[in-house]
Order: sequence, then C-alpha cells, then structure tokens
Amino acid sequence: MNILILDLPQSADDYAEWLENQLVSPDFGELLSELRALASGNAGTGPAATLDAILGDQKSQVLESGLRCLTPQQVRELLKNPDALEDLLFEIHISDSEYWQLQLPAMQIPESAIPPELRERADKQAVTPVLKSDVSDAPKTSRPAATSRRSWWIGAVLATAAVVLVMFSLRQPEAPNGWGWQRSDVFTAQLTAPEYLQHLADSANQWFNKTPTDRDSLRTRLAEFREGCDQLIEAPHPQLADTDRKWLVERCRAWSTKLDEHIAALDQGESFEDVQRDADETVMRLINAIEERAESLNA
Amino acid sequence: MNTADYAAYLLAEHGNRLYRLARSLTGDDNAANDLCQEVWCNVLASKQQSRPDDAGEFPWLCCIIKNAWVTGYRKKKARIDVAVGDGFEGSQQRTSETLPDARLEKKEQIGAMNDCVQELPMEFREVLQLRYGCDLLSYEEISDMLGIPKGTVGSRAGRGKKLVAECMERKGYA
Repeated sequence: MNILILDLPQSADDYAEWLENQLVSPDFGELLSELRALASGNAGTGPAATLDAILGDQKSQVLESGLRCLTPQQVRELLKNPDALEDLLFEIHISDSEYWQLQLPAMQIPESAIPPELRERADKQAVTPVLKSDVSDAPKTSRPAATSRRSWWIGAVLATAAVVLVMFSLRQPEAPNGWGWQRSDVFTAQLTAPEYLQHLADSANQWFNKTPTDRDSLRTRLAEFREGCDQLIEAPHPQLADTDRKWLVERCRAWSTKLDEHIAALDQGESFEDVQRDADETVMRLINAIEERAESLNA
Repeated sequence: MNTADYAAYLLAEHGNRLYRLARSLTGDDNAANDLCQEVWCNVLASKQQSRPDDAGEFPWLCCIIKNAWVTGYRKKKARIDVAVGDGFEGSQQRTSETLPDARLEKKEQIGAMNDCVQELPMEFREVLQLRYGCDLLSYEEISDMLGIPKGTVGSRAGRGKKLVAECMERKGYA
C-alpha cells in the first residue's frame, strides 16, 4: 500500500514544507488523485475554493518563495481543494521563479512521449535538457525566422553545449535516500528540542507506511530501521541538552539491540507474523517514548 | 516556418520542461507520455495564427496540456461511468483492466482504504477519520478534540494505519 497522504506530518506547522516537497515531486499526480478521491468522498462539505480564494494576496509570494508563508489552515485548504492545488502546480511550472526552478527535478523527455512524425526531427536535434538552474543561467534560444533555420540550429547546438557545461559545473546535491532515520536530512539543526524530538518520532512512524509481505522484505525493513538507529546515534543533535542527548542515544542503543533480536529471530526461523508483530510493538514503543520526551520538554 | 518545423523547435526549446510538468501532473510515466504525445499532436495540427510570441510559448503549451488533461480525464471518467453502470457482470473488474489509469487506481485504493477504516475499532477509526478525512487535523488538534494525549493519538494513528494496511492487503492492495 502506497498512499502518500498517510505521510502527512503530525504537526500542522510542517504541512507547508511537506506539501512543497510533494509539489516538486514527479509523483505529485498520485497525491492529487488521492486528494480527489478523498474530496469526492467528502462531497457536500461546501463549495470548492479556488486558488485565488485560498492564497489571496500571498499568491505572488508563494510563487516567489514557496509555501512557508502560508498558514496551516491555508495549506489544509489547498489539500482539501485538489483543483486549486492543480492550478498551483501549473502556475509553479509556468513561472520563471528561481526558487521553484531550483527545486523542480531535472528531466529528459523520453522518445515515447514524442509522436513518430516529430521523433525523427528530435533525433537530429538535441532537446535542451531542463536543469535545476538552466532557466536563468543558460542562454535562451530565440524563435527562428523561417529563413534562418541555420542560425536556429547553431543556437540550439550552443544552448546544448552551454547546458552540458552547466551540468558538469553544477554539483547538484544528492537527494537523501532511504526513509525514516536513514535520511540524513532528518537530523536537522533547524528545529527546537521538542520539535526535533517530535520530528524524530514522525520519521520513525514511517515504519508503518509499508507493510513487509515476506521474511526477506521484513528483514530488509528491519535492517533499514537498524541503520537509521546507527545514524541517529552518530548524529550531533545540537539543539538537545546533554541529558536529552544522552537519553536519546542510550534509548536508541536499546532499540537497536531489540531490532537485532528481531532480525536474529527471523534468521532462526521464528514465524514471520510473530516477528512482524514484535517489531511493530518495538517501533510503537520507541515512538511513544520519544513523543513523551518531546511533550515533557514542551511542558 | 512550417508547422512541423515549428513543433520541432518547440520540442527542442520546451520539451523537457513540458514533460516534467506532465510527469508531475499525472504521477505516472505512461500517462505522461500519452499526455505529451497529445500535446505535440495538437501543436502539429495548430494553425499558424494561433502561435504565441516567444514569452508565451511555454504558457501556451501548458494551456494545451491542461485542456488535454481535463478533457481526457472527463472522457475517461464518462467511459468508466458507462462501464461500471452497464449491468455487465464483473464490469468493475473489466473497467480496471481496460482503463489502466493512475487516477482510477487511486480512487479504488482510497475507496478500499475508507472501507478498511470503517472496519476498525472506534478508537482507531475516529483518529484516522479526523486525520485523513475532511479535516486533515494534526496530532495536536486531534488530541485537543478527543481529550487524549498526543502520544496516544500517535500510537492510535500508527496502529490504525497498520491495521488498514493489513486490511488492504487482504483486499488485494499489496
């Protein structure tokens, strides 16, 4: 089961960042489809809101610098109105906003997306790749006049060469891999101590986003979680006080031991269902422990 | 410039950017390919008078893609409605097989998820309905509304999602 809306962050303050990440994902359409299905199930809750009605005079700010200027309620309204969200997607892609262009992934049109009658021509020309920064950096080719196809070809070749240079000169940061605590961006210094602990609990909750279907997939999932624990133990957690950091690391060592036991149980032939149930309980307990610690810091 | 040259020029200039939009919009490789094909066929069939100026090229292509997307969606939806409602035994299955569309699959998936949520014990159901139903509430908001600790909301949501995943697996949504 892969339902994206189930990854909605626990805190409404994080909705904007999450939705922004979804908007620049190539799989955004999946979320749109889910939201449409949810919205159709909630029909009768009121008329659909338009993008302009939701964003008001903040639309230009959103196009210039992202969704973080929006209130959680505005983000929620976007999620509840998929047509408005789709309109926002178009506006983002059409806009030349550097902010968004830097975040949208580079993509190359596949041959199968081009009609055969155009494909042959496309083979002769290099289709200018879209890079994260080429919109502002690369020279734009101008529309050719009917009598100057040669200059257009030269322009296209020059543009392609420039883009290739940009490709080599720009070191795009690699997207973090994995899930939960495996992702290096989980260990951010940008959050306060209670927010950070809650964020760690949210990330651990991703365990439940995917259900292993056999021993191998459960073993892999456990090993991934175990790897995340190692990352957590090594991370600096600068916002945490010494006592909280020590508590977190010690608890994580204990959870790691528990996860190792689950892996060992699998290897020793214990039933898949039993190990999965025990692992779920371990994860649930660690999430609860971190959340309680976060709440105690908030108190 | 004749239409084919113009289309080739637009393809070279905006092809990747347009594909990126199509991929994001559809969330699916095949649907993105079909949508782009439709756009380029539209461009090839367009009249010279309809061509925009330089700055308007990409917005114009986006307008074509949006029309193709919305029209295609409506057409497909109408076909689905006819297929599902024609009284043919097993028509739901046939529809799924003959219309492999990400949106239809998602709709079925969300429908199955809602059914699974309905089958949950009350304590899990109420949390999931507040969280993913029409309210999209945060843990804190659910905690305030139900008068239970946020950690309990988290564990009920986690456990509830797990039960829903198991239920969906039983229904064939692995």
